[in-house]
Amino acid sequence: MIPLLVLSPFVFALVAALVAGRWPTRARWLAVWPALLAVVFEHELRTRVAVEGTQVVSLAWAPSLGLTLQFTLDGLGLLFALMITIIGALIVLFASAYLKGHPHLARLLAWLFVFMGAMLGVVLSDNLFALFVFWELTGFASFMLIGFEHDTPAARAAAMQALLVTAAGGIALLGGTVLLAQITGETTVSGVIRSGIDVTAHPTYLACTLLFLLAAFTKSAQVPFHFWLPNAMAAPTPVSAYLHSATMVKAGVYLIARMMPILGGTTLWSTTLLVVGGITMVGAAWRSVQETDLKRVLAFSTVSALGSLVLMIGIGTPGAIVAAVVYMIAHAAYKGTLFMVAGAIDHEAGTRDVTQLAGLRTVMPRTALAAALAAASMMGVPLFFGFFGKELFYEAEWQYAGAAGLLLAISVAANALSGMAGLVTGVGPFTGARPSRFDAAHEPAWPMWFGPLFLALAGVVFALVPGIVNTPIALAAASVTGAFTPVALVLWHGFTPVLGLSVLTLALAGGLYTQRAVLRKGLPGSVGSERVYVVTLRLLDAVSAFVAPALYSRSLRSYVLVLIVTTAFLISSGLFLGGGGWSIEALTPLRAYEMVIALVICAGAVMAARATSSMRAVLALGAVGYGVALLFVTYGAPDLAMTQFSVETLTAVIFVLVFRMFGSFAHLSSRLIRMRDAIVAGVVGVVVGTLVLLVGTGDGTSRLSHYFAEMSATVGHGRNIVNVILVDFRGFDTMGEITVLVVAAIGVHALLRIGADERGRP
Amino acid sequence: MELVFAIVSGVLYATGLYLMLRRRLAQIIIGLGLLSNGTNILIFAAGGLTRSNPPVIPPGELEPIAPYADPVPQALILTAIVIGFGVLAFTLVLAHRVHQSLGSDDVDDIRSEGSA
Amino acid sequence: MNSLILQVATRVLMPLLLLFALFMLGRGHNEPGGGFVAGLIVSAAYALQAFAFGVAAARRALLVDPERLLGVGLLVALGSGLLASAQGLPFLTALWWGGLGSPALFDVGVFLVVIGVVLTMTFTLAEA
Repeated sequence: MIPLLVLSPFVFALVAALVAGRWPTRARWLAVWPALLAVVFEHELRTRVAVEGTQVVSLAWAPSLGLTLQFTLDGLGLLFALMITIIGALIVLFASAYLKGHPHLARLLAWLFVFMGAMLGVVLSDNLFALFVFWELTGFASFMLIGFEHDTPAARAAAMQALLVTAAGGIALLGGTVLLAQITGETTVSGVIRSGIDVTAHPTYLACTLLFLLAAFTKSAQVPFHFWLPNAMAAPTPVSAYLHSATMVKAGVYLIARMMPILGGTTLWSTTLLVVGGITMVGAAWRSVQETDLKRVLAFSTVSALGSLVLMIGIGTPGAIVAAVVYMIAHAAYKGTLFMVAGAIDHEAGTRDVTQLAGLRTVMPRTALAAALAAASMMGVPLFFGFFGKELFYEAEWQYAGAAGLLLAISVAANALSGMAGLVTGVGPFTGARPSRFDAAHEPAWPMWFGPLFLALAGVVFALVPGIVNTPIALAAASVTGAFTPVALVLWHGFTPVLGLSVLTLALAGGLYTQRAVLRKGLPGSVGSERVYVVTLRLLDAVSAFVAPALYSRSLRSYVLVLIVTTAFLISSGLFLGGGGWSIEALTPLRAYEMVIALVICAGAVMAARATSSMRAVLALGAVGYGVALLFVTYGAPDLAMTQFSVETLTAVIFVLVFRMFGSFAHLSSRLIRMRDAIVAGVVGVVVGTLVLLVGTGDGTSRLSHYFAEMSATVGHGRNIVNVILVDFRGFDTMGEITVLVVAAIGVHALLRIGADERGRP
Repeated sequence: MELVFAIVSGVLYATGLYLMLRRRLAQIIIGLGLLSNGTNILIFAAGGLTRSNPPVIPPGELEPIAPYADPVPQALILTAIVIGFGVLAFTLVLAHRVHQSLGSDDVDDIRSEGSA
Repeated sequence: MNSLILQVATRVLMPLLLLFALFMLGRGHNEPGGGFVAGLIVSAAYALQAFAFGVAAARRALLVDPERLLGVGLLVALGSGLLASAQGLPFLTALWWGGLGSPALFDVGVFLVVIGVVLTMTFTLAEA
């Protein structure tokens, strides 16, 4: 049941395409399904996993091949599943209004559902290979969604960039999975953990870990692979909110958390995560305040938040893991809200430029409320869930033995900058005097403010009644740390140094916000890794532009020539290296009539090659065929001889029927080319002849033949071994061969009949 | 006698390939026919050659009388002969249709028309 | 090709060739012969018929469309394999009832396919 539910969004993609295509105004009802899924996952989490522990459910896919699709329901996976389905439902609702009247609304919704299914597969698959497949599928869905407005070149370029960067990571994931499977002999996460093998002590641990981290870093847009995410903002806003903020980009974080029990605990692991996460966190936060496009500001602050999550997992203490989980929930809620708000603003005011937007609170009060609540959570104002995230984050760093001071300093800086980004995106557009050009703006339809307000209010409710999220958080953290410790979030810790840091962050954010115009102007920032991407692509283009025409000459004869020469070279080098000798004595003596047959065949072949008329060529080919049949008779192959005789006769019939097309065989190529071809063909002939000589004098019949000879009468109930092989022992082969014959016949039939119809037309 | 097979298959390969390098479709097809005969001979010789009994068990016996010819390559070649016929017929008709539609049996000609 | 000699020879040869083909098909499992050869001989017989009396006459003499034989033959071969599947054995496992076995049925399928293939090609070509 559960596996089918996990896979149900794929089916629902078709439903969405049908419903939204036929009744676009009813498309919002599609949100019901993910909402129901969320209820199921919530139920599983609270009543099963919390009580009985991790659940394993499987679906027999092709039992005879040993293929089953196995899903693990544990705290981490289900928490992600809940975020995917709840935000998914709100996004579907939002998109149905945001793209109202868009001709391709159905396509967008269908791909959103495909993505939802793939993402659920990523977070619930136990088998790492299945995880890889779903992982790549999310990347592909992202490609289709970023490139949704496919007639704009920027969208196409951004889609391709995202695909190339994350697909490279996907290959790394596959590599890491294969290495891990080689080390442990297991292909599931649970199996690897159960095996108890210490992967960190294995010689290939370094490669394995780096591959997994590479996959995670590309997917979660860590420096230096971050550049695709801001560019992915070319996607419609619901897509940005869903894939590129709340869910898909967290798949990398998920992977790191999932692999931590297996690969974590080493200096390599924590150092890499701390350094990459730290640089990403600060660098992206810095870039976010320099942008003026609402969505790009949000994109960079998302990159920064992902960096924070990587950093927290890098710290790795139980407190840090809980902090990461809380931070992630908070981020999904406020960032999802702010993205949808940005979409609503764009939809109503027609611009996303933060230097233009102002005073919208009077015309869009509900949207403004959602935005303000989300911004407060993002800044970490007490009484909002984001506050817990920052608090726990600082606390984990405070207690971290290594470089606590440095970590705290960069974290405060990054959080202050993202607090400022929160003000820029959630407060700035709504405050101040409203320019007259926005007079026509008004509150959007309810599906467009419901989602943001719902998520923003969740951020308040979780903070005021933390009891409802304690258990899921504790369960999710337990999946990573391996031991369950109850979590009890409390709003008020008393006056601690950490509270001081929170206040400092808030004050800095406010102060920076007043100086935002200065910050945007002329400060250096951009990290140049996108240049590397561009240059690499250009280089590839140049290389293929140089190589392709040389290989792809569009001349059949040159392909044949290359194939022949290569094959002949490989065979002759094999013969040369193999060194198998032969001697004249090993040869069986010749008989006169065999020589006559051979002479007939050779003469026929040469005549066919030199023929200047089609008649002669066909006759010569026939002579060759009958000659070969005679050879079969001589060497104990009556079945072959009979078949060859009949086929030769029928070939002649076919040739006669198509005779009309055969004109003269006058030479088309120059003498020089014919000479070259003759030499090449002659050399190949010598190579093949030598090959025959060597294998022919080699050890005779194979073990296989003895097997068939012994089994034919007893098991096969037949005395003609060749026939028994054909219809019994290797019957499946014959089945395939007669199918090929049927295809050839249908091809001939179609070629001639279709042509007849065309010619028959007036 | 191995020499017979070596020479025959060598000559068939050489002439077949020479014809496959020509520009006329008809010649290419004749080359294909020679080449498949050559390959059959090659496979046949690979099984070891005996100028003797066919791989048929005499009535009342359980195994063929040694020395007998290798049945495995024979089974392979038997289907290869028939499939070779099918392919040859298909190619012939394809060439016939190309000739009809484009008015040429010169591969280079057809190519330039295709790119136009 | 209205040759009297060819026509007379065909009349005599046709039944002989068909009988010979059935003989080859029947003994194929124990002596040289089998579905491939038998199918080719039948095809040759009908090709001869087509040359002597025209394709229309040959089609009439064949009683069924060669195109149909393609499908029927494949289905017979497939069915002989499915007999084993029906008994829970792997596809194409040989089953024997006395001297009659599913491989013989398979060979009949091959026989029909070969006739269908060759005659579909020859007849369509001759009519084009």
